[in-house]
Amino acid sequence: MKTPKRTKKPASSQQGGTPALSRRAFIAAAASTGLTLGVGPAAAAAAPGSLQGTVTPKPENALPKDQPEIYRGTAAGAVLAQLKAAGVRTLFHTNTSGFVPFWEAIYTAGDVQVINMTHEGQAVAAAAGYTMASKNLGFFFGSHVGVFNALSNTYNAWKDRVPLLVTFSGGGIAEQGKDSFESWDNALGPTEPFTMWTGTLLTEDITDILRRAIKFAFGPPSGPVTLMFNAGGEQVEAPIYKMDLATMRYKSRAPTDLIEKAAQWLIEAENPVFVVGSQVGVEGAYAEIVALAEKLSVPVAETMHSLYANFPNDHPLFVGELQAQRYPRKQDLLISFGESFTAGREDIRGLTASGPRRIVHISHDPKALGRSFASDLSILSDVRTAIRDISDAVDAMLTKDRMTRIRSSRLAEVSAFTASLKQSREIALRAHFDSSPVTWERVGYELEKVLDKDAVIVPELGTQYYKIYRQLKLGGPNKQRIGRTKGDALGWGLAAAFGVNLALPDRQVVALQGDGGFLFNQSEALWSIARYEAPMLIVILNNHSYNESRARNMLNGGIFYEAGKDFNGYLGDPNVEFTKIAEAYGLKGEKVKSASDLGPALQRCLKSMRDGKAVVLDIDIAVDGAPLSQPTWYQRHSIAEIRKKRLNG
Amino acid sequence: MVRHRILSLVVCNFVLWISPAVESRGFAAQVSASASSDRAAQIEKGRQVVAQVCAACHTTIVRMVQVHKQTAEQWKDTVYFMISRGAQIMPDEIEPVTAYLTATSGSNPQAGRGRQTPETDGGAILQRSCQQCHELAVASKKLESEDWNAVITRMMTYGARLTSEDRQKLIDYLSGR
Repeated sequence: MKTPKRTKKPASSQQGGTPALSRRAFIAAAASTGLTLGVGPAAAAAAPGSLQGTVTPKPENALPKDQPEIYRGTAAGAVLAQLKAAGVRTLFHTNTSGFVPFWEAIYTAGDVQVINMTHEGQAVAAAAGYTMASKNLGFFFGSHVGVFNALSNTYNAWKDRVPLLVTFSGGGIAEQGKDSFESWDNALGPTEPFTMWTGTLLTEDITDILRRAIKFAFGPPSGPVTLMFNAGGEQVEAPIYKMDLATMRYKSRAPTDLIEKAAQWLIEAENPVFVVGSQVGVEGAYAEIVALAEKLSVPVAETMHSLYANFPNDHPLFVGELQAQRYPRKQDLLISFGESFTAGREDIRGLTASGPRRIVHISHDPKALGRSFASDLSILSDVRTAIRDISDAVDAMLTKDRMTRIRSSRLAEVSAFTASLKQSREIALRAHFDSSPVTWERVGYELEKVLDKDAVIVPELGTQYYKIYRQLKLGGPNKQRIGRTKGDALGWGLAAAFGVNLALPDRQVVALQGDGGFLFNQSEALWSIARYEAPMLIVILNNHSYNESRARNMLNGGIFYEAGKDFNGYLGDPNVEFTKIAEAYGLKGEKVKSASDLGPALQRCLKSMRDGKAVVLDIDIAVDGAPLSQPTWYQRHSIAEIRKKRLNG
Repeated sequence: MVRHRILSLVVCNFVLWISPAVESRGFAAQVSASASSDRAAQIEKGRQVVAQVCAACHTTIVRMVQVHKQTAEQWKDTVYFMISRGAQIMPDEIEPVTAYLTATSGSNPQAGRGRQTPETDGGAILQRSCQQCHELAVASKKLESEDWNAVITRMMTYGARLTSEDRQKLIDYLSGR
């Protein structure tokens, strides 16, 4: 019988959720041990009886102290048993032959749900959405010839740091160099630039390999792992490791001196600003970041490509996008909580527009620290823990009176600023409130009126989305937002929203799509949405164009702008009837052409959702950007006209 | 690469200012002599807001406004659009910004073709890299070549990409050699 290997607990890790020890207690206890502060958890953990021992860490791979259960059966069955031991009960699949032993194991188990999708890319997006909403592990299995279909959404998942296992049958090394049927060398090679690891599920050590794959997927940094699924009907004996995915991610806590320095800078700063990033959302540290911001009334910004609603956007301290900041105009301290600033020029503008200032970068991802920009202080820590630790340190450094003075004086200024912004947005909303085609602002306004407070929005739109977003109450106790994917590769949103709905069946889930984005192979997802009766609302903001790219292309003028023509932006010919696509899948379709129709149509949509059926709501939406003199022009070409040979029949 | 050049100019510590060259060619020429001082003050206020708010993201804002000829109503819609999009324009700034954009717009419809001009000297490099966002007068401050060298070095730490040859040409040009 195979003896399972035990893995040593990494010295610097703290598993098992957020440590219960406060920063203040940490400092006091550390002093009593005689440890030098600032050497980091690794050194602390190395000392017998040190603090690390007091926070009840769980071992890195969650190996139980007793012998693990031994699975005896097929290799494919061992894969399923290990997945189940990690709490995975939902598997995403795209049709192929070659998984019979795995299907048999699934059938025998009886408590695993397979979600069939009709395209590998859509299946990976659904797995990603499911994972982002559930914090579980998305697992996909399909054919290796689908590697390429899966690529763009695997890439998106990597950009979003979503832990996934994306597995493919076939593609064995026995075929290497032969160029034989459905084979090429290094089958997972194309996925390597955007996966945390690529490997092969071999019969030997199969559950160990799977355990490692899950560990690599959760990181940090987290992200997709691709595997060749070479586990079939061979008989194996394999240990099954209990794994707690909720605490799977390797956790860390910052040395005290770094926390104290950040807190000191925060206290000294006259015009600090916080930037909240997706790691706040991943860790669910919403309450903590709000509490810390409120403690000193620090304005809170986000980046243009934030993945989640990490801070309530109706909070008086929320000042919007960093790159657009006017308040405080001259910041002297920026603290990033879990934002990686990977959006390129927009993020760089945001980081530099205010001129010289101190920048503190806090991240649970060691690879993100100092990657996109040079910070003055880099802190590797779980974001939630770092927020709490800084909060404790501030408490220890400031008297209550001084804290109150700072808070109240700053709050008055920030609140006045955000109230003015809100007033401007209200003016913009009302400017064309009743116009048809409907304005983006009106769509946001109507959605806010009718959706539940805990609805989840899954957008895949260009920057026009923000016009909807400003009308919705998102973040904190309000609606949640997942997306747009930071990868920006179109063809993600609908399947991702379906995955979110699988994870959150009791919440209203709203996919926001453009007509252009929907046409990027997304109608396939409707098949699964119909089959699994996901009662989603799918809003298609239909301006009959790729408005975002058109507006950007025309922004600085040029020959095409002067001619009023756009080679690739117009989508209105053919004018797709999206409601009929919905109906083809047995779903409901609603078409809205005027603002006055929107409210009643939404009510009908909600009724359908209550009845358990998804709706595609196709809204004629306003075009924006520089107007073109020939907005419907495109480079015409007709095969029917140029053909010279008369066809039979 | 162009993107990085533009970016570097925005992030450097130059005073961000809409070019007075545009001002003279554009709105100033279009504002009639009889325009009230209130109107002029409103446009000036709008110019300052555009420089502070719009140019933060639209690094080529001057060229954008130059090439797009729109009515006051259309520009106001653009302002509304951008407010909804996230531009931090306050209620009392909507009219001034609209006035400035209207007065300035369409002054050089072919400015969008400017990128095709070959660069032959320091002036062309400056035009390519600086004048879309920065006031020519500011760029022409009397500084010694060592000081310009420091400024450009700082710009390059932000990501400006200049060849050694272009860098020297630019320093020579800026320092009046």
